[in-house]
Amino acid sequence: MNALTLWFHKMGSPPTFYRIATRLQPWLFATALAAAAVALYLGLVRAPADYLQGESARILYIHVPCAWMSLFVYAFMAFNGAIGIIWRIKLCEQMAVASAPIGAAFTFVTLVTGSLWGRPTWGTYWVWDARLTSELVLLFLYFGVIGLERAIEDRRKAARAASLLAIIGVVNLPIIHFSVKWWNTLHQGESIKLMGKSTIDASMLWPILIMALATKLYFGAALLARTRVAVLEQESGKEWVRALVLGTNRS
Amino acid sequence: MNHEPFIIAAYATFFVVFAIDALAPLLARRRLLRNLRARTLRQQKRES
Repeated sequence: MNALTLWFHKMGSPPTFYRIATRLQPWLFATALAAAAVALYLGLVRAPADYLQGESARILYIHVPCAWMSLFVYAFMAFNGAIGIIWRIKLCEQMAVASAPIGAAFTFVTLVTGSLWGRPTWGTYWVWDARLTSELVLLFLYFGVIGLERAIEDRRKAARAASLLAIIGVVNLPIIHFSVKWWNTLHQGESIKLMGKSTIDASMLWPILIMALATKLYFGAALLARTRVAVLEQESGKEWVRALVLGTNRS
Repeated sequence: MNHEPFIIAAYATFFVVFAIDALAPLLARRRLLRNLRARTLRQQKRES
Protein backbone atom coordinates (compact mmCIF):
# COMPACT_ATOMS: atom_id res chain seq x y z
CA MET A 1 0.00 0.00 0.00
CA ASN A 2 1.55 3.33 -1.01
CA ALA A 3 1.76 6.36 1.28
CA LEU A 4 -1.21 8.19 -0.32
CA THR A 5 -3.56 5.20 -0.05
CA LEU A 6 -2.43 4.68 3.52
CA TRP A 7 -3.15 8.36 4.28
CA PHE A 8 -6.64 8.06 2.75
CA HIS A 9 -7.37 4.96 4.83
CA LYS A 10 -6.13 6.68 7.97
CA MET A 11 -8.20 9.82 7.29
CA GLY A 12 -11.22 7.66 6.47
CA SER A 13 -11.09 6.23 9.98
CA PRO A 14 -13.74 8.10 12.05
CA PRO A 15 -11.69 8.55 15.28
CA THR A 16 -8.70 9.89 13.32
CA PHE A 17 -10.89 12.22 11.29
CA TYR A 18 -12.69 13.43 14.41
CA ARG A 19 -9.41 14.14 16.21
CA ILE A 20 -7.86 16.03 13.26
CA ALA A 21 -11.09 17.93 12.53
CA THR A 22 -11.34 19.00 16.18
CA ARG A 23 -7.85 20.51 15.99
CA LEU A 24 -8.26 22.14 12.55
CA GLN A 25 -11.73 23.62 12.90
CA PRO A 26 -10.99 26.59 15.25
CA TRP A 27 -7.96 27.60 13.16
CA LEU A 28 -10.01 27.58 9.98
CA PHE A 29 -12.77 29.64 11.63
CA ALA A 30 -10.26 32.14 13.00
CA THR A 31 -8.37 32.60 9.70
CA ALA A 32 -11.68 32.90 7.83
CA LEU A 33 -12.79 35.66 10.21
CA ALA A 34 -9.45 37.47 9.90
CA ALA A 35 -9.48 37.26 6.08
CA ALA A 36 -13.11 38.45 5.97
CA ALA A 37 -12.24 41.42 8.23
CA VAL A 38 -9.37 42.43 5.91
CA ALA A 39 -11.58 42.05 2.82
CA LEU A 40 -14.37 44.11 4.41
CA TYR A 41 -11.93 46.86 5.39
CA LEU A 42 -10.49 47.00 1.86
CA GLY A 43 -13.89 46.77 0.18
CA LEU A 44 -15.92 49.09 2.39
CA VAL A 45 -13.28 51.62 3.45
CA ARG A 46 -10.38 51.67 0.99
CA ALA A 47 -11.95 50.80 -2.39
CA PRO A 48 -13.62 53.62 -4.33
CA ALA A 49 -17.30 53.64 -5.28
CA ASP A 50 -18.07 52.42 -8.81
CA TYR A 51 -18.13 55.23 -11.39
CA LEU A 52 -21.46 54.04 -12.81
CA GLN A 53 -23.26 52.16 -10.02
CA GLY A 54 -22.00 54.28 -7.12
CA GLU A 55 -21.93 52.88 -3.58
CA SER A 56 -24.28 49.97 -4.33
CA ALA A 57 -21.37 48.21 -6.10
CA ARG A 58 -19.92 47.50 -2.63
CA ILE A 59 -22.35 44.55 -2.46
CA LEU A 60 -19.95 43.00 -4.99
CA TYR A 61 -17.50 42.07 -2.21
CA ILE A 62 -19.88 39.52 -0.73
CA HIS A 63 -22.07 38.70 -3.74
CA VAL A 64 -19.30 37.47 -6.06
CA PRO A 65 -17.39 35.28 -3.54
CA CYS A 66 -20.69 33.72 -2.38
CA ALA A 67 -21.71 33.05 -6.00
CA TRP A 68 -18.36 31.33 -6.66
CA MET A 69 -18.79 29.27 -3.49
CA SER A 70 -22.34 28.24 -4.41
CA LEU A 71 -20.88 26.50 -7.48
CA PHE A 72 -17.72 25.24 -5.78
CA VAL A 73 -19.61 23.65 -2.87
CA TYR A 74 -22.01 21.93 -5.26
CA ALA A 75 -19.08 20.48 -7.27
CA PHE A 76 -17.42 19.39 -4.01
CA MET A 77 -20.66 17.77 -2.82
CA ALA A 78 -21.17 15.88 -6.09
CA PHE A 79 -17.49 14.78 -6.16
CA ASN A 80 -17.68 13.41 -2.60
CA GLY A 81 -21.04 11.84 -3.37
CA ALA A 82 -19.50 10.07 -6.39
CA ILE A 83 -16.57 8.78 -4.29
CA GLY A 84 -19.05 7.64 -1.63
CA ILE A 85 -21.14 5.75 -4.19
CA ILE A 86 -18.22 4.21 -6.11
CA TRP A 87 -15.83 3.29 -3.27
CA ARG A 88 -18.37 3.18 -0.43
CA ILE A 89 -16.31 5.51 1.76
CA LYS A 90 -18.61 6.49 4.63
CA LEU A 91 -16.76 9.71 5.38
CA CYS A 92 -17.19 10.97 1.79
CA GLU A 93 -20.93 10.28 1.97
CA GLN A 94 -21.09 12.23 5.22
CA MET A 95 -19.08 15.11 3.77
CA ALA A 96 -21.34 15.23 0.69
CA VAL A 97 -24.43 15.44 2.91
CA ALA A 98 -22.78 17.97 5.27
CA SER A 99 -21.90 20.25 2.32
CA ALA A 100 -25.53 20.71 1.26
CA PRO A 101 -26.72 23.18 3.96
CA ILE A 102 -23.51 25.22 3.62
CA GLY A 103 -23.92 25.37 -0.17
CA ALA A 104 -27.58 26.32 0.28
CA ALA A 105 -26.49 29.17 2.60
CA PHE A 106 -24.03 30.48 -0.01
CA THR A 107 -26.65 30.23 -2.77
CA PHE A 108 -29.30 31.95 -0.64
CA VAL A 109 -26.92 34.82 0.20
CA THR A 110 -25.97 35.10 -3.50
CA LEU A 111 -29.63 35.43 -4.51
CA VAL A 112 -30.57 37.88 -1.75
CA THR A 113 -27.51 40.12 -2.17
CA GLY A 114 -27.93 40.02 -5.96
CA SER A 115 -31.55 41.00 -5.58
CA LEU A 116 -30.62 43.88 -3.23
CA TRP A 117 -27.97 45.01 -5.72
CA GLY A 118 -30.42 44.69 -8.63
CA ARG A 119 -32.97 47.12 -7.21
CA PRO A 120 -30.78 50.29 -7.34
CA THR A 121 -28.93 49.28 -10.54
CA TRP A 122 -31.55 47.53 -12.69
CA GLY A 123 -34.64 49.05 -11.07
CA THR A 124 -35.98 45.65 -10.01
CA TYR A 125 -35.32 43.04 -7.34
CA TRP A 126 -35.86 40.09 -9.66
CA VAL A 127 -36.06 39.15 -13.34
CA TRP A 128 -36.51 35.66 -14.75
CA ASP A 129 -33.29 35.80 -16.75
CA ALA A 130 -30.99 32.83 -17.35
CA ARG A 131 -28.35 33.56 -14.67
CA LEU A 132 -30.82 34.34 -11.89
CA THR A 133 -33.15 31.47 -12.74
CA SER A 134 -30.36 28.87 -12.99
CA GLU A 135 -28.96 30.06 -9.62
CA LEU A 136 -32.45 29.67 -8.13
CA VAL A 137 -32.58 26.12 -9.58
CA LEU A 138 -29.25 25.50 -7.78
CA LEU A 139 -30.85 26.53 -4.47
CA PHE A 140 -33.73 24.12 -5.13
CA LEU A 141 -31.22 21.36 -5.92
CA TYR A 142 -29.54 21.95 -2.55
CA PHE A 143 -32.96 21.83 -0.86
CA GLY A 144 -33.69 18.61 -2.78
CA VAL A 145 -30.46 17.00 -1.53
CA ILE A 146 -31.17 18.08 2.08
CA GLY A 147 -34.82 16.96 1.89
CA LEU A 148 -34.03 13.59 0.30
CA GLU A 149 -31.34 12.84 2.87
CA ARG A 150 -33.74 13.59 5.73
CA ALA A 151 -36.65 11.67 4.21
CA ILE A 152 -34.94 8.25 4.33
CA GLU A 153 -34.46 6.61 7.74
CA ASP A 154 -31.45 4.43 6.88
CA ARG A 155 -28.55 6.92 7.06
CA ARG A 156 -26.33 5.17 4.49
CA LYS A 157 -29.17 4.74 1.98
CA ALA A 158 -30.19 8.36 2.56
CA ALA A 159 -26.63 9.59 1.92
CA ARG A 160 -26.36 7.54 -1.26
CA ALA A 161 -29.72 8.75 -2.61
CA ALA A 162 -28.77 12.37 -1.83
CA SER A 163 -25.37 11.87 -3.47
CA LEU A 164 -27.03 10.52 -6.62
CA LEU A 165 -29.28 13.59 -6.82
CA ALA A 166 -26.23 15.81 -6.29
CA ILE A 167 -24.42 14.10 -9.18
CA ILE A 168 -27.41 14.53 -11.51
CA GLY A 169 -27.63 18.21 -10.59
CA VAL A 170 -24.06 18.86 -11.76
CA VAL A 171 -25.56 19.51 -15.20
CA ASN A 172 -26.77 22.87 -13.82
CA LEU A 173 -23.23 24.14 -13.07
CA PRO A 174 -22.12 24.86 -16.66
CA ILE A 175 -25.58 26.30 -17.36
CA ILE A 176 -25.08 28.83 -14.52
CA HIS A 177 -21.51 29.63 -15.57
CA PHE A 178 -22.18 30.08 -19.29
CA SER A 179 -25.72 31.51 -18.98
CA VAL A 180 -24.45 35.08 -19.52
CA LYS A 181 -22.78 33.96 -22.78
CA TRP A 182 -25.45 31.59 -24.11
CA TRP A 183 -28.42 33.89 -23.51
CA ASN A 184 -29.05 37.60 -23.64
CA THR A 185 -29.34 38.34 -19.92
CA LEU A 186 -29.66 41.39 -17.70
CA HIS A 187 -26.85 40.03 -15.53
CA GLN A 188 -23.44 41.36 -16.53
CA GLY A 189 -20.72 39.11 -17.96
CA GLU A 190 -17.61 38.12 -16.04
CA SER A 191 -15.13 40.88 -15.12
CA ILE A 192 -12.67 38.57 -13.37
CA LYS A 193 -10.92 36.01 -15.53
CA LEU A 194 -8.61 33.17 -14.53
CA MET A 195 -7.09 33.18 -18.03
CA GLY A 196 -6.57 36.60 -19.51
CA LYS A 197 -6.82 40.12 -18.21
CA SER A 198 -9.56 40.99 -15.71
CA THR A 199 -11.56 44.13 -16.48
CA ILE A 200 -11.73 45.23 -12.85
CA ASP A 201 -9.36 47.58 -11.06
CA ALA A 202 -6.92 46.08 -8.53
CA SER A 203 -8.43 48.19 -5.72
CA MET A 204 -11.72 46.33 -6.21
CA LEU A 205 -10.23 42.98 -7.22
CA TRP A 206 -8.18 42.37 -4.04
CA PRO A 207 -11.11 42.63 -1.59
CA ILE A 208 -13.02 40.11 -3.74
CA LEU A 209 -10.09 37.69 -3.85
CA ILE A 210 -9.45 37.95 -0.10
CA MET A 211 -13.17 37.45 0.61
CA ALA A 212 -13.09 34.44 -1.74
CA LEU A 213 -10.27 33.02 0.40
CA ALA A 214 -12.28 33.76 3.57
CA THR A 215 -15.34 31.95 2.21
CA LYS A 216 -13.19 28.92 1.26
CA LEU A 217 -11.72 28.79 4.78
CA TYR A 218 -15.20 29.22 6.28
CA PHE A 219 -16.47 26.35 4.13
CA GLY A 220 -13.64 24.14 5.41
CA ALA A 221 -14.46 25.00 9.04
CA ALA A 222 -18.24 24.62 8.65
CA LEU A 223 -17.80 21.33 6.76
CA LEU A 224 -15.60 19.89 9.51
CA ALA A 225 -18.09 21.05 12.16
CA ARG A 226 -21.04 19.40 10.40
CA THR A 227 -19.13 16.22 9.50
CA ARG A 228 -17.98 15.83 13.13
CA VAL A 229 -21.64 15.76 14.24
CA ALA A 230 -22.49 13.19 11.53
CA VAL A 231 -19.49 11.02 12.54
CA LEU A 232 -20.50 11.15 16.22
CA GLU A 233 -24.10 10.19 15.34
CA GLN A 234 -23.05 7.27 13.16
CA GLU A 235 -20.40 5.99 15.57
CA SER A 236 -22.49 6.51 18.72
CA GLY A 237 -22.23 2.86 19.80
CA LYS A 238 -18.45 2.65 19.45
CA GLU A 239 -15.99 2.57 22.33
CA TRP A 240 -14.13 5.75 21.30
CA VAL A 241 -17.40 7.75 21.36
CA ARG A 242 -18.29 6.30 24.80
CA ALA A 243 -14.88 7.39 26.05
CA LEU A 244 -15.39 10.83 24.51
CA VAL A 245 -18.83 11.43 26.03
CA LEU A 246 -17.72 10.23 29.47
CA GLY A 247 -14.85 12.69 29.38
CA THR A 248 -11.97 10.22 29.36
CA ASN A 249 -11.06 11.54 25.90
CA ARG A 250 -11.33 15.32 25.85
CA SER A 251 -11.32 15.78 22.01
CA MET B 1 -31.63 56.84 -4.90
CA ASN B 2 -30.02 56.24 -1.50
CA HIS B 3 -27.99 53.03 -1.78
CA GLU B 4 -27.18 52.69 1.91
CA PRO B 5 -30.22 50.58 2.97
CA PHE B 6 -29.49 48.05 0.19
CA ILE B 7 -25.84 47.71 1.24
CA ILE B 8 -26.75 47.37 4.93
CA ALA B 9 -29.46 44.78 4.15
CA ALA B 10 -27.06 42.77 1.96
CA TYR B 11 -24.28 42.69 4.57
CA ALA B 12 -26.77 41.97 7.38
CA THR B 13 -28.11 38.97 5.41
CA PHE B 14 -24.54 37.74 4.84
CA PHE B 15 -23.65 37.92 8.55
CA VAL B 16 -26.93 36.53 9.90
CA VAL B 17 -27.02 33.55 7.50
CA PHE B 18 -23.42 32.55 8.21
CA ALA B 19 -23.77 33.10 11.96
CA ILE B 20 -26.72 30.67 11.95
CA ASP B 21 -24.84 28.26 9.67
CA ALA B 22 -21.76 28.32 11.94
CA LEU B 23 -23.73 27.95 15.18
CA ALA B 24 -26.08 25.15 14.04
CA PRO B 25 -23.50 22.29 14.07
CA LEU B 26 -21.98 23.51 17.37
CA LEU B 27 -25.40 23.39 19.06
CA ALA B 28 -26.23 20.06 17.39
CA ARG B 29 -22.94 18.57 18.66
CA ARG B 30 -23.57 19.82 22.20
CA ARG B 31 -27.11 18.34 22.18
CA LEU B 32 -25.87 15.04 20.74
CA LEU B 33 -23.06 14.71 23.30
CA ARG B 34 -25.55 15.41 26.13
CA ASN B 35 -27.91 12.69 24.83
CA LEU B 36 -25.09 10.21 24.31
CA ARG B 37 -23.71 10.90 27.79
CA ALA B 38 -27.16 10.28 29.35
CA ARG B 39 -27.56 7.07 27.32
CA THR B 40 -24.10 5.77 28.25
CA LEU B 41 -24.66 6.51 31.95
CA ARG B 42 -28.03 4.68 31.83
CA GLN B 43 -26.34 1.68 30.20
CA GLN B 44 -23.57 1.67 32.80
CA LYS B 45 -26.13 1.78 35.61
CA ARG B 46 -28.06 -1.16 34.12
CA GLU B 47 -24.87 -3.20 33.69
CA SER B 48 -23.72 -2.56 37.26
